[in-house]
Amino acid sequence: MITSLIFACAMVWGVPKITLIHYHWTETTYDPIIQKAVKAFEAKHPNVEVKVIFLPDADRANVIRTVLASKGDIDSFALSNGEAPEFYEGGQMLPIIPASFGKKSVDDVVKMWNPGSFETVGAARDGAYYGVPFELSNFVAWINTADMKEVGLDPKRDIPKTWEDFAAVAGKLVKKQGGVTVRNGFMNNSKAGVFNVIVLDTIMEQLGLDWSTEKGLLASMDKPDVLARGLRTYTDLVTKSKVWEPAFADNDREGFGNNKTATFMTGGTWYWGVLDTYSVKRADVQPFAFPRFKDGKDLGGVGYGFALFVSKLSKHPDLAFEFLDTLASYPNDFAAKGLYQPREKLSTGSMAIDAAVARKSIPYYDEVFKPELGKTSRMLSSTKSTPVMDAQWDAISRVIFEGVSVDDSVAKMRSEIKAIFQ
Amino acid sequence: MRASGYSVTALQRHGYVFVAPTLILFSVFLIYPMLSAFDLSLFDWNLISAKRFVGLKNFRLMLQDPMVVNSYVRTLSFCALTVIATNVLAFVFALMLQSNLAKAKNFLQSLIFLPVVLSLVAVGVVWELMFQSTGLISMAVRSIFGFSPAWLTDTRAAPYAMVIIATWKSVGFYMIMYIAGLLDIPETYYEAARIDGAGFWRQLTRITVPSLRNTFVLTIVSSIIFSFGQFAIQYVITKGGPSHSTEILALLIYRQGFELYKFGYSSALSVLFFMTLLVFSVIQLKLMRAGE
Repeated sequence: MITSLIFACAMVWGVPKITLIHYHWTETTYDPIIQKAVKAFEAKHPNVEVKVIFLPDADRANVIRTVLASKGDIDSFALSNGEAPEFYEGGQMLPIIPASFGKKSVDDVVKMWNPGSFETVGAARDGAYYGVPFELSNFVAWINTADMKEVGLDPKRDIPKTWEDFAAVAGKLVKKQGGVTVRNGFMNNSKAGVFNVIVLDTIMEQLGLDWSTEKGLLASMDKPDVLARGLRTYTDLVTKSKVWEPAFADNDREGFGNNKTATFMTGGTWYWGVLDTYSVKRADVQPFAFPRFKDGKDLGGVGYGFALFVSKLSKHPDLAFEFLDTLASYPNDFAAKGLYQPREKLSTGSMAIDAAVARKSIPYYDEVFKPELGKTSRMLSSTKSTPVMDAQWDAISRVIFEGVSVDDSVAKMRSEIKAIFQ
Repeated sequence: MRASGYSVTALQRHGYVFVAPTLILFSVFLIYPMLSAFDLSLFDWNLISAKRFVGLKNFRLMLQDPMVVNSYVRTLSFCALTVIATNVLAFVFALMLQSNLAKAKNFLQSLIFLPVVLSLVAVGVVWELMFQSTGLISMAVRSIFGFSPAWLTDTRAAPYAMVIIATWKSVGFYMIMYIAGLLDIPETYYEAARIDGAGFWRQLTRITVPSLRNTFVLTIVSSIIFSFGQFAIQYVITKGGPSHSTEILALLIYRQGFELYKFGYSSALSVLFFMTLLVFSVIQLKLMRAGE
């Protein structure tokens, strides 16, 4: 008995408990899966306690910045491909430790994920690998098929393929009562510019401009006619075809979920899980490929992703990477809830994502999401992304809120973007 | 007679002990951050890269930045309209509720004061819904005038929507201050005026307004300082839009720091903000001392 007592004391006091702290965004649908991964990791490492700090997505990057600046307790964190460049610039992430994944080389680690996924989700920089891909998504367009039937449209035949078709279909889907819009044909978020820039970026890339690199973006500023055509395509939805009344509602994702709009364009596979929290039923919803230009490039909505990184402040980077490997080892659980993770193999060697699960859990996965994933447009991923996005949103805002002409707005955007890169 | 156990010096020392906790909290949570902001305004820093000393560059940029000019003008305009509307309404309500003709005074006072105690965020969310095209305000205006402005998506209407909300939120607070001021005026002044044949307007202009001089100074300058520092209403409802038409200075400071990660520039803007409020505070102190 004394021996048992001594042994128990040694277990409690002899082996120091290691705490790993991970910063992640919160989403009620996915948080339980993360907790499951934490429990599995702690079961494998009884002397390790993992604390996941769940944060609203809008606050996540700022909180992570603050913790890093104050040299607080942080072992790992999640960032999007748009957020990662500034953190890379500040040298805040550690390169991948292959041994933590049970591998001999970084290449062996990279091969466990879909080819190209490290680059797309921002987990790689200048040929070196830092992050663990956690989410790979692409934006597609969404339409309410019940609304289509209500106005005499056929969901099998009348899904719009071009921007002209889209404006026409969305126009039919607008609903008014007493001259007041009670359902938009299309809407986007009228307060948060990023969602509007996502669509504008796709339009510009379809028109042949390269808005995904600093060099390409600057070069595109010398093509005012193309810029004007792209901006006009988007802003006409408000000012000309009037399929979008911004004064009616401001949040497109909530708006689509509550049938305040018949279409929207800023949802990925994960939106199925979000839709379940609103009143519109899955059976009445169909995602479809982003509209195209007849004479434009065959590119779909913006592709983006999230990666998990180990902080340079981590006292146990090897354990932290092992935790991230565990966290990214539940692609089927996430796929069942609509979140696609680009992992092919687990560190144990077994297959990661079961394509059948993805097909079953993500409606229209084979018909829409997978084909579009192969031809996504890309947003600028640079330390100047945020001021550039501001300038792009200002260009849209000037036209739809101030009544400025498209040409004048383009002229101002060109000078603002050129000034950002000076 | 027993000798006193306290000298003046001992009393002073004890006084410092009592003041010390507040002084420490004040220093840690107000003075130190303020001085840090002054220091940070001389640097370029995004929290995750090395700090870079740039001297007065942030202040030079600030003077040339059209966004700063826009924000400053928007703030002054919001401030002026809100102060005028709030103080006029508060004074009128105070006069009405102090009148002998008013019924259910306590109930009405509580009703007008109620918005003051409500959470700004909750107020913002509800008013946003009311201002939407199918919201209560838009429907009411449409039913009276036949049309309604797009309150939150028209750059000409949105600033006025913010003034309406700010006025509604704070009028009760200033009404209480005016009521306190009115209660301080001796009733004998009004009795004497009535005996001399003075009507309502003469009593108002010759007795009430002059007697409330200090109250006016306090309420007007307080409301200027408070409305100049307004942030929550614009942040919750419009985020400074549409097209920067409601982007007041406090919101610009927030955006520069927490959305564009230019903490040095944001600190420089907060120095400008501080200087402006310092001017208003000094004016208030001088006016109140002149009143004494």
